[in-house]
Amino acid sequence: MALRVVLGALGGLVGLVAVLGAWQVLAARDSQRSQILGGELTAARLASKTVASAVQSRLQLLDNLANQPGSTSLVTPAPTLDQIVVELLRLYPQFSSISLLDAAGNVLAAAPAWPSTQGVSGSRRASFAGVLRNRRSYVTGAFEAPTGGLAVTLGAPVRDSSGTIAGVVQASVPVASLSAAVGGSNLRGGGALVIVDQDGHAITGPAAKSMVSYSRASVVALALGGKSGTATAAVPGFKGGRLAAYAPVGSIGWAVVVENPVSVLDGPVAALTERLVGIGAAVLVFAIAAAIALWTLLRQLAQQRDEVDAIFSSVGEGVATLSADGRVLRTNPALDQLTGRSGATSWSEAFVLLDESGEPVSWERSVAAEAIRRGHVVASHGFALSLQDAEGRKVPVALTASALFVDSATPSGAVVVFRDVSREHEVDQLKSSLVSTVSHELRTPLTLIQGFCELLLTRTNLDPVQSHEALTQIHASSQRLGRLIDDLLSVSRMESGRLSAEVETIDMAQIVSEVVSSFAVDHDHHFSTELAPSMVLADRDKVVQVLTNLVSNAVKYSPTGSEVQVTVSVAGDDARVDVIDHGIGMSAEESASVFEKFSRSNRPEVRKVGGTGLGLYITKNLVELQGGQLWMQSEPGRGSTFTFTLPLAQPGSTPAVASLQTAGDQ
Amino acid sequence: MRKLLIVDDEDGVRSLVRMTLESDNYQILEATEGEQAIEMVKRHRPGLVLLDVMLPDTSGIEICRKLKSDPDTASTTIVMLTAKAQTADLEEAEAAGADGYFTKPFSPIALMQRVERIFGAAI
Repeated sequence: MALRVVLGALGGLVGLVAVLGAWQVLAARDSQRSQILGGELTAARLASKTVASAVQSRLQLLDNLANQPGSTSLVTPAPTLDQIVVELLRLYPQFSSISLLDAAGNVLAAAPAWPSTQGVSGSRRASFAGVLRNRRSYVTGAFEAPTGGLAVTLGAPVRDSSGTIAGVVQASVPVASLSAAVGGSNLRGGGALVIVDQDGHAITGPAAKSMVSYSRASVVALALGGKSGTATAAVPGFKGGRLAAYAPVGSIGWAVVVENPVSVLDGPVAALTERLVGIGAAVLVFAIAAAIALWTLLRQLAQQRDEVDAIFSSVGEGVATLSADGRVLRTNPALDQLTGRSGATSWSEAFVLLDESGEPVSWERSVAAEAIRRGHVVASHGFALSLQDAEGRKVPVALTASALFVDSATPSGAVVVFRDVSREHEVDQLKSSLVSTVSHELRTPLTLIQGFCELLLTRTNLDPVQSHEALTQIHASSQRLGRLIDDLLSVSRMESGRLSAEVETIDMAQIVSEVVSSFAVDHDHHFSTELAPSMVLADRDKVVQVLTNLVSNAVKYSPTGSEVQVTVSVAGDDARVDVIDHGIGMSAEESASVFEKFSRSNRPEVRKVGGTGLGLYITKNLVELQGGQLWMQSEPGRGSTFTFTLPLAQPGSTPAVASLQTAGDQ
Repeated sequence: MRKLLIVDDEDGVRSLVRMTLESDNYQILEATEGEQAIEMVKRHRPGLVLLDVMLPDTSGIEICRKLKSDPDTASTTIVMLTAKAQTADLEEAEAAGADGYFTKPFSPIALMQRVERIFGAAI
């Protein structure tokens, strides 16, 4: 969005520069053009004056020659006439030839000598006719001189004393000598100065190579008509056409044209345009560079914002940001899930936070407000707080609030992390329950040991039966304490990965038989066994411990006299042992947690039996340590079946004693 | 003869109480569960009930409340026997109408003196 605004602004800037530049160019172009056109016209006029005076001076000379006293005698045939003409030509090098004609147009004398066979040339005839027609001196159009190059013929009448034209003096002048007079004209690059005769032939300049009509006929017509001015004409081969400034040449009937490419008009303007284009390009490049830099910056900012957003959204704990006055600015999905609400802006609407006594915690009492007041991190203690979700469920939470400083020394708000501490709360309760259980389990045997000892020490009158009973109780109680300590140590070892099994090939059927027999000695249950021969790879002591625990449970949780059945069978690569009782059984709920540490049913018939809730947890760990599995099936009132497997020893192999170790818990 | 009912699921505890008090002066009655205890109180009218808090079927405190709220058995002196020494339990026992409590582990001699004091006062 911001990117578009910036790019638009830069585009606008570039556009403005372009419009201003174009306006400048057009204004400059108009003034430059009128200056150029004026200059061209002045050049044409100057050139025309130069040409006119060059021609006029020669014509004047010829006129003087024709009209000096006695010149009439020149047009009278005489043997010395040729000599005179040659002498004149030597005296006047401006002329390339001089000739004398009589009133009838016959050549009387000519220098250089004129071949008689050629008669009178075209230019001489034109000159002669022009003089007679105008009755004064006359300049012909250009012609190709026999000696090469272009020339014009000047003619002046020779009059007798009565003023009648008695003959004509003619002289040829090379056009080059005329154009040399204007050759110094300073023309712009690509320009040309063209002298056009009355016949419309270009007699100087690049167009005068051959006797062709000068192509700028319309311009020439105007100039030959006595007008001067400027015009542009489209000319093939010249891109954009030619600019012509034209002026007539005095009374001779010629014209001068100064020709230039039309582009001269744009010369200075083009330079200006180039400069402006340069500036424009620089501005454009700068704008593009700025836009790219800005775009990159905005992208980086967007990327950073996206990253922060993603982190905020992905954090597994609930996170909320709050303003200094307790408005809820933002909550992350984890928190919304915890509260079952989203979008609420006030503390009390967003969070139904209850303290230990069930009272809602107001914003003022919250750790967030305290964090803002104190300017640092404040955390809630223990399991004092619970968060009630939209459906009324309460979840114990721990809050950590940090004061938020944005460009200021005073907190602008707070970030609060809501941590669901259900699991910790559960563990905490489990710990309390464990302490309570263990202390009860410790206190009972301790009570008996202390009590019977006291009786033995203080009552001297105890009979032997009583003494024996007292000692038996003390003995049993100390054993009970010992087992409790063993269990606790086993769990500790399992969880730290220090429990190991010394695996060897052992006879499962034999071990089952031994353990069951030991129970049969002092229990009134009916024991039965079905023993399939099977050799397993296991730790003998641990297998005994597993069996003892399972059979002991079967006995404890089933009525005296009922049947406890233990079977050994082979299933695939495993030996399978089932311990079946017909006792109180377990509900599905109890079954689910039966292998968990410190799990104890609250049922009286289970409570009656006593225990730490560690036995099955330890048993399961022992079986798994040896590569087996332990599971159970049960039905309340019908009894339970605990089943475990252990890997069979491969027949024929006598494995060395191997050592297995627990991986460690958590 | 003074009748005393000991209610505890632990054989050892009952044996200890029996050995401590068994004499020509006392008749020791034993129960392992709450309901059984109520039944025996009604049938044998013991002068004192030593009642364990953690019983298999129900809480000893609940049994105490039942005995004390029943006019037929309300006059029975009840001393709670508990391994739990938390004040909450003691307050609960008091609220249920218990006449006193004894904390495990306990001294048999102290128990005997306490019991004799109770019976002495009752007489």
